[in-house]
Amino acid sequence: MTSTTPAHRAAERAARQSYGKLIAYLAARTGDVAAAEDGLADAFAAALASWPTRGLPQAPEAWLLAAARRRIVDMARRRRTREAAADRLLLSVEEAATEMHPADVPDWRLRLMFACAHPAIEVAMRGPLILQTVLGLDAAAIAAAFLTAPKAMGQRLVRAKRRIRDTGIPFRLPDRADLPVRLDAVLEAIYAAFGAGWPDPGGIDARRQGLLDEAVWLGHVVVVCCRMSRRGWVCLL
Amino acid sequence: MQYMLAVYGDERAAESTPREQMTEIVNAYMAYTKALQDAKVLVASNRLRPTSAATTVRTVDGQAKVLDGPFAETKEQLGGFYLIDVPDLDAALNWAKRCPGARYGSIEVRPIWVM
Repeated sequence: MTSTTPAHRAAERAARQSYGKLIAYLAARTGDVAAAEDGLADAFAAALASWPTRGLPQAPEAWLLAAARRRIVDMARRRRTREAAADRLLLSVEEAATEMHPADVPDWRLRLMFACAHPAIEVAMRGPLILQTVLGLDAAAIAAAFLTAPKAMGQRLVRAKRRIRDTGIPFRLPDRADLPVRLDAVLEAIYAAFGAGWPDPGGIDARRQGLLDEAVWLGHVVVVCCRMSRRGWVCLL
Repeated sequence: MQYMLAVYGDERAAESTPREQMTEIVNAYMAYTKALQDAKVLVASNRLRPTSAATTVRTVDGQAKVLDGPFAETKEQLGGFYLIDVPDLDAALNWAKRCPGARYGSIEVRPIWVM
């Protein structure tokens, strides 16, 4: 009903185009995917509250990033007394804040995909993780595609994200020696997402049809990043 | 981040290893430890005496019970550890792959929970 206002349309457009990019950047700084998701969700909520009255910001992506970062710092502060690790989180977020130029959000989605398809993550969860973190699909949609119960899928996603944070899985491109194997893992995860969107002969489930397109788009992101690296993978690091 | 590389292996197999091969293994461990030191990532390391030297304590109904032997019988036993300080899991895994213990058993890589 409200999706017709310009602010909502702008927020939706930003969500579609920037979601994975913003998650990738926020998570890479802290290693905490769940915190990045929570922060960005609040940022989108703030955008919907603020944009209709104050008008669209010049750089919506940078606006969302700044809002998400503030939220993550707040959450880290509140956790501080309970978890010493929050200090590290706080520090890296504040570091990121000082070196950021507005409207200049680097595209680290490939790093995020490498983290999601890391050998330390169980194979079956790599595709679902990529769908959730890069595309912002919810657990219910992913569960429908992978033919599992939404609740179970939600729990497994939470556990996998906690594992990324706790084990210290890096958000960076693998070393040259590891690259072929690690890239295969990413492509396999994307292919699993593609396959999950496929077996719907009647085309009844629109979400699954959408998944096909999304998986193709993910593959495209990888191809573009790899083509860029033809001169040397190092240039991407 | 700090990680513990827990070196697991079959103690019985180690006991029956010929002396010559044992020297080779010990040398490999010394070289590995030196490589960790040279890379300035080694925090601590030690070898453990076999589980035949283990004693287990457990409090049951408020009473401390002392039991001879390890807390559980397993196929592979914890034989030693390396505590290393590296940037991330990939770096820890690369060191684990180079550990001589990976050839004879398994290396469990666990992040240290900073309190």
